[in-house]
Amino acid sequence: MRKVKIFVSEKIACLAGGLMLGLMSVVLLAAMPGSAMAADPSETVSRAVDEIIDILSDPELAGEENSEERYGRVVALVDKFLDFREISMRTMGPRWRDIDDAQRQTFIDLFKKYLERNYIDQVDEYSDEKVVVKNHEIREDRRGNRYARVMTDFVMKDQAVPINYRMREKDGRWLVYDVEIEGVSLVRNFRSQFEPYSFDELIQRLEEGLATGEDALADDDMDFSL
Amino acid sequence: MFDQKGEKTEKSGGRPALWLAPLVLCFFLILPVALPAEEVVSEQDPATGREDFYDPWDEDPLDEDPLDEDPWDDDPWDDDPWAQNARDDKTLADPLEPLNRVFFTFNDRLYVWVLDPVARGYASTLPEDVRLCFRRFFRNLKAPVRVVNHLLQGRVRDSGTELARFTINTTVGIAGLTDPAADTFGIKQRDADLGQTLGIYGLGDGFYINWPLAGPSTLRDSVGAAGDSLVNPLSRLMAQDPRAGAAAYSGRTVNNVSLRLGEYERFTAAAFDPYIAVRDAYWQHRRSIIRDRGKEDSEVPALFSDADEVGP
Repeated sequence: MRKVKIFVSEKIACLAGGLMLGLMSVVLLAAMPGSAMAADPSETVSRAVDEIIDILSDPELAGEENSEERYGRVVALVDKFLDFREISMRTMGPRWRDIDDAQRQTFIDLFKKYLERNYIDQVDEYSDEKVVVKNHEIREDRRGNRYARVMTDFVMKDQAVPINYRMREKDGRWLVYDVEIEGVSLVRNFRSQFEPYSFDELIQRLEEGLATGEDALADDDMDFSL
Repeated sequence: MFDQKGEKTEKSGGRPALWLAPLVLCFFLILPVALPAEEVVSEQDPATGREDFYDPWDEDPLDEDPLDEDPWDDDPWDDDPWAQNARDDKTLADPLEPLNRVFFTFNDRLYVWVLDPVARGYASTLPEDVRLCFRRFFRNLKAPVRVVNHLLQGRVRDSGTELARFTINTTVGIAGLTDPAADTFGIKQRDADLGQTLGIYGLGDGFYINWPLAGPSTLRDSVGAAGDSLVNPLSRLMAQDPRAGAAAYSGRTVNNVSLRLGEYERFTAAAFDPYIAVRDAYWQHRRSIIRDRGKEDSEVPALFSDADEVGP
């Protein structure tokens, strides 16, 4: 009887000790800015949004002359937040299986550059919009991989645009693999655009687009011929 | 100056859609019979990494194909990547693509060369708050479309909500220039249109149509737009007095564009193939508002639902 009691109290002590340690580590990790510890997906999103807004509203980084510095910082932040491998894979769709590792890496690097080039400049358009992180939903597949969808509202003057972030947990961090704006998935949108092209054409066109500047691709497709 | 330009724009834009409607309707009724349901390819891939494309939110309730024999298809925990790929094969039919592309280029040029400069000029003459008032005015004017369609969708409460909004905003809100229904009473606008209603009834998209001036649409949504025009005050005005109607339409277009300057240009500039990007975005958006209809807490007025929302 006594033995059992000791055993029980030992267990409690162990538990309490573990709990304390756990709590301490959480506090420690939370105190470290931008640490890998991401307890929940909503938090990850709101932290990333806060950091981007900090960069954009930083008076020291404002203006044309600092645009490169600002760009670099946003890129660094976005790299931490997005999973470009996952994004590339889903954008390629079933074709992903048919290409080898070297080709995959080529595509990931190119597409990453392409997205950064075309989208990161746009954050400079930010004025006084607010991002409201509403809630999130976590689902698990039978292999135990965890997926989350974080619902946010991009609040402008008198209307809000719903933006959902789809995330996947990797090594305890939540990384974004798709963004849904008003029900339009960016990954699906690009997949539909990439579908008509073979892998080699795709690489070639992406490279051309990056080499000749932003508008080259857009203009390329405008022909009146039937 | 822009009135004239816009007039030309809207006149030819609204008209064909109207008198093509019977023709389009015929097509629409025949189409579901003529097009056999697409066969779902459910390949099994024994290779590793099956979970690669797994996406728990890729369930697509519209995908209720009776021919579909994939046992995992409606399973939200589906980790068969091919089930999703099969769904992806179901793209929006675009038999008119060459013609659509011509109209796309035409619309694009018109936007960039005419509408955008006009809207920029307009924006510099009127402060944003005034332009926001005008936008609200035009939105309020479209309330009958929403009231009717909520009703057609069997959402009586939403229909009543829109009716209440219309009543409040037209009176207290000074002809809809302000939005006291949302600002004071917390009743937010809920969009609904006939294209969406028909989609909820189970009608397919038909195929993609990029109208000159009117822009992206599908067969179903064009029929919907024609139907909606019966209860849309602006369209009624157009029918009775084309001149005034066209002026109102162009005024609305310029005003709304002035509040979204540069958005279109940025979207197309970031696209790999702008035509496909617009087509796909339109289709995805339409599908999402049909699919997610009723999933959101739309039957609860915003006044009460706000309390449930968990902040960051």
